[in-house]
Amino acid sequence: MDFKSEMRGAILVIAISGNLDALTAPALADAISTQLREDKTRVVANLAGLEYTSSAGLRVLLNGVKAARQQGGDLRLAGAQPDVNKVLELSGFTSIMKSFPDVETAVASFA
Amino acid sequence: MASSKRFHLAITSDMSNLERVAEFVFEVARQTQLSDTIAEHTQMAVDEAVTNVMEHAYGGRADGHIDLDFRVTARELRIEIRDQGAPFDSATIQEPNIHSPLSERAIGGLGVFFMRKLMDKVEFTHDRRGNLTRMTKKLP
Repeated sequence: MDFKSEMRGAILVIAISGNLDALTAPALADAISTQLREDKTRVVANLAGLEYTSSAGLRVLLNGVKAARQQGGDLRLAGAQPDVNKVLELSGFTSIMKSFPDVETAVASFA
Repeated sequence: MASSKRFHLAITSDMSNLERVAEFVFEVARQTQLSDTIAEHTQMAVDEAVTNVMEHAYGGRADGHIDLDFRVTARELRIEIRDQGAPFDSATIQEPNIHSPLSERAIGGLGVFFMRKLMDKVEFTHDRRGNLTRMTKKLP
């Protein structure tokens, strides 16, 4: 798993690629909580490069969206590939997190 | 009697072995010509099961033993995962309500939820030798 963060205006975009499992998820959790502590609470997780996530990755997203909303922001998803999208749907995440086809739409949704 | 193929992998409970486990599952799938969908579902269910063992039976310790046994026949795939860690009671693993709103969503339980969703049968037992997680997937 690899991730890169960049600001698009006031929105933080975290591009996550590779595999998210119990080994790799904690690093992403740390990155998200560090950014939230710096008041970057409007966050887009770009999942276009994410090939696989287990429940460990979903827990990180769930904690992230809860924390972001508590601070008045949100964590939104973008570009999930069909396999990852299936996992998001199975777990009911698509009804609690906003999900967009690409980063541009997800960033624009905060306007 | 239908012929079966058997595969075995022994690992320690170090989380870095999750990647080896995934490779093993895909190698079994390749050798037994399982479909991509069945291979992916099995990989995820096994990932969740082994993660459970690492986190709950061994409490994050890296030096525990985990044995994975796969048996593939024309009709089904049977997976047994054994460990010698602390007993974990499946009855205590609450499945999440996937329809509950965000504020009420529990953080845990999703792993077992996925195992049950992706496989046809999931059983947890434990005896003096340790825990046994057994999963079965019917093959088309």
